[in-house]
Amino acid sequence: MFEAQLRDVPFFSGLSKRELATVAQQIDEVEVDAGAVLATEGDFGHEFFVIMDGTAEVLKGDAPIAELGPGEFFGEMALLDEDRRTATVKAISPMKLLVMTRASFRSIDRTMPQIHAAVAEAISQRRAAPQPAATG
Amino acid sequence: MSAMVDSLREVPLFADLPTRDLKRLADSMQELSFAPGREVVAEGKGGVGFFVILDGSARVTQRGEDRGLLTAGDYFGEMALIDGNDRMASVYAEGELRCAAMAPWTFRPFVRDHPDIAWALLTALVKRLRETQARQVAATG
Repeated sequence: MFEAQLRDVPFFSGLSKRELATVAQQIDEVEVDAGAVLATEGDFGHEFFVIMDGTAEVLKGDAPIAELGPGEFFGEMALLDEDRRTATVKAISPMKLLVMTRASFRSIDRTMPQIHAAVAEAISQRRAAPQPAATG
Repeated sequence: MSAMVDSLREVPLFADLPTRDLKRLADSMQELSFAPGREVVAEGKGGVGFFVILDGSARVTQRGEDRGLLTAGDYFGEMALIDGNDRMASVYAEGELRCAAMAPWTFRPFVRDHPDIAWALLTALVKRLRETQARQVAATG
């Protein structure tokens, strides 16, 4: 289904076909209109997003700092219990997204603990990189 | 879209919203239809939707036990959206079911901007907690 897109996400790239299928089961596919605010800086957020289609703008305060497109992800900190979004993410075109909640991720983490390590790694890499900034 | 606004006006939770806010709400909600027996929310799984029933009815079950029927004007799914945890119960379409669905990233700002709605949700949650406690006392007492 959308397992090919999942493979583009660094922390899912090492998974076997069966593991990817398990992850895919925990994912919802959603469509949003341009202008939809997917994450609000300072707010609570429990979802992790992978972009399938469309473009999103990342803002800190009111300043746009990055754009994200197909294959890119955001909101990954929500998977590791970091509650507050560190930036705002807004759809600037209609978008198709894969969404995973913290609860879903936790159930995967129980059966595939290597994913937890991979997510933590991806987050620390993002923190270290000057761009694009972590969005939580 | 005005059909959605009219439907939402029938929902007690949204009863006191001014028309302008109802319109904005209708804009941010998606209409979904479910065939009889179709699972809308799965107990123990993560969830990304808050649902309001526009038409039809839905059966709630928890650990296989029947927890009652929801009908037009009722809502479900808010708990998982509040704390990001698993769904506490399963909800199935009893017959043909038509819902308005809202994503978490819309639900949270919406509740924050409408304190009366937050209060109504809190009241319903307290009621549910008391019912759960009463059930537990009855089971052990």
